[in-house]
Amino acid sequence: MTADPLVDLSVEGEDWMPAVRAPEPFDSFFRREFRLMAGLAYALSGSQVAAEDIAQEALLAAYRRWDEVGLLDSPGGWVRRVVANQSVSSVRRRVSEAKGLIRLGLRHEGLARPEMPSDSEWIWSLVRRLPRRQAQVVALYYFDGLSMSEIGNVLEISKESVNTHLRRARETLAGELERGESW
Amino acid sequence: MVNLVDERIERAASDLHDALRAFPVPEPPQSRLEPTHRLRLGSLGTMAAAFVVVLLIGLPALLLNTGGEIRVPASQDSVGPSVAMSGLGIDGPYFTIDDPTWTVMEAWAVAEGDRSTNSSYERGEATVRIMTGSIASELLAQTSDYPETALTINSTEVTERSTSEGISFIWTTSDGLPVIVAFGQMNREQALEVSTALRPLDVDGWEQLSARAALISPTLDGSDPARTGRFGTGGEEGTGEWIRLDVSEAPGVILEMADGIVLPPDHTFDRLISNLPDEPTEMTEEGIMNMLEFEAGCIWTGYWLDSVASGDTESQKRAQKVLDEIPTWPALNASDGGGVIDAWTRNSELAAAGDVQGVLDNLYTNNCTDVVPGE
Repeated sequence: MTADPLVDLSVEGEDWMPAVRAPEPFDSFFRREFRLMAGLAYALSGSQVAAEDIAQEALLAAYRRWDEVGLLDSPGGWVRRVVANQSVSSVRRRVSEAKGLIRLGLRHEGLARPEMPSDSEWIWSLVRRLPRRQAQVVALYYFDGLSMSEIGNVLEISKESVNTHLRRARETLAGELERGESW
Repeated sequence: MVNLVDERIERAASDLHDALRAFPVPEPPQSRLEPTHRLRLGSLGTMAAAFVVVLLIGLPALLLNTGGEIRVPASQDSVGPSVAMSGLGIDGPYFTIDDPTWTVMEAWAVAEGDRSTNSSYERGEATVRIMTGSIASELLAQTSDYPETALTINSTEVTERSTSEGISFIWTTSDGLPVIVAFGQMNREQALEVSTALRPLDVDGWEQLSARAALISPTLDGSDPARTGRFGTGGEEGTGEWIRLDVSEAPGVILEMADGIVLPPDHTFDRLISNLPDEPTEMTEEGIMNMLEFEAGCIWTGYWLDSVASGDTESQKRAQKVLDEIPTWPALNASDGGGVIDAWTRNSELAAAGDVQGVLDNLYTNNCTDVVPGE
């Protein structure tokens, strides 16, 4: 998913001093992950303003505990879990949008959207209509490229559950696509 | 058709990746907030820090208005006059749930001095979110979940709305601030019960709440596994598994590794365990074995000194046998750069010669002073 974030701090020439490792600098983690987190949030929320806000808040939460989060096996997985959970909450999305609007001095109609072909935008809108877990699994699998096991770790569910959610989501989306294209 | 779904979503994912290039990447937040400071024992700063901790714990309790009672709809069907209330919302915009069984997940204001806040809490599957000011206004204005009629409330009324995520209570504070409290995964009765724990905070109380929110995380509790499943890549760090030393599982894992190391009667690795770091730290299994063998060497040397002092020749002989073996212990040898094994060899020779002062001096050199009798 991401490079091993731990940095070897063992001291050369120290006889018996055991090797100790420290988290990756937060700066590089932030710069590497921000767009991916914002993209994941967008896939699940459909709002660029909310996506940027949710990504920033999740990364800020990681920053506040970086000396612990940074030492996890997958700090990126930790942040993904926060983003995936926040993004499927409609209230949370609206809070982020409201915050963005206030900050930017915009009205709701002025909200920016990523420029994507309309077919892709439509596909993501179908994903967002799936049950929450299914939508999260689809976004993490297709957008983030995570394996079933990695998704299971992010969402704290079994690999088998991930598989079931993904299968059901595909079936639903297949039906939706068929219906949509026959219109 | 499912294969077609794969293709279509993969294309949509690829398009989203392309579109993301237009997303501006903000600066990382290091200039906004410093990481948590770590307390170190034995410094004057510890006393000051302890004083601050007492203040942090005590202050919010003092600032909470425990006499207030939230206004809630008078009956299940009513969107009208509220039941009794007092003391709530006179200053806005800061509110909290004064109930330690709820975990604060986030608490922020739009900007310093702004009257728009958002905070959320979780207890199991249930959630509560409190939104105030512009955020609440925007929400009420934008969404069909909170219809326009909800804005007709005033300071003596509470509006109740069912949303896609549960029940919300909406009201204005006595100084005109809109407030939404949204309850997720709760029925109305439960929402009403939680409402009674809503309390206003002043700005300091809010700041403490925000600081607490920063300490939550989905996985960072005391049950973090010590075994990381990652392994050293050789060289000085070895090829053993990296072990977290600061988590609650660490002592168990370390003592399991110490299983083959024999200590004198009535001696344990308690000193080593009690000195494990509180800060996030990892060490490979080789490093831990080295630490354990070193500590065992110190303990046996202390036992030798005790036996000499008490005239217990049987124990002294037994200790001498172990001291003679220490220079051959595998983990100490594996990381020896020349100095450690020499020191333990000298320790054994001094003990064999009955040189108590020499052994004591050697203990100081080896940094084993905690096991020296009388220290």
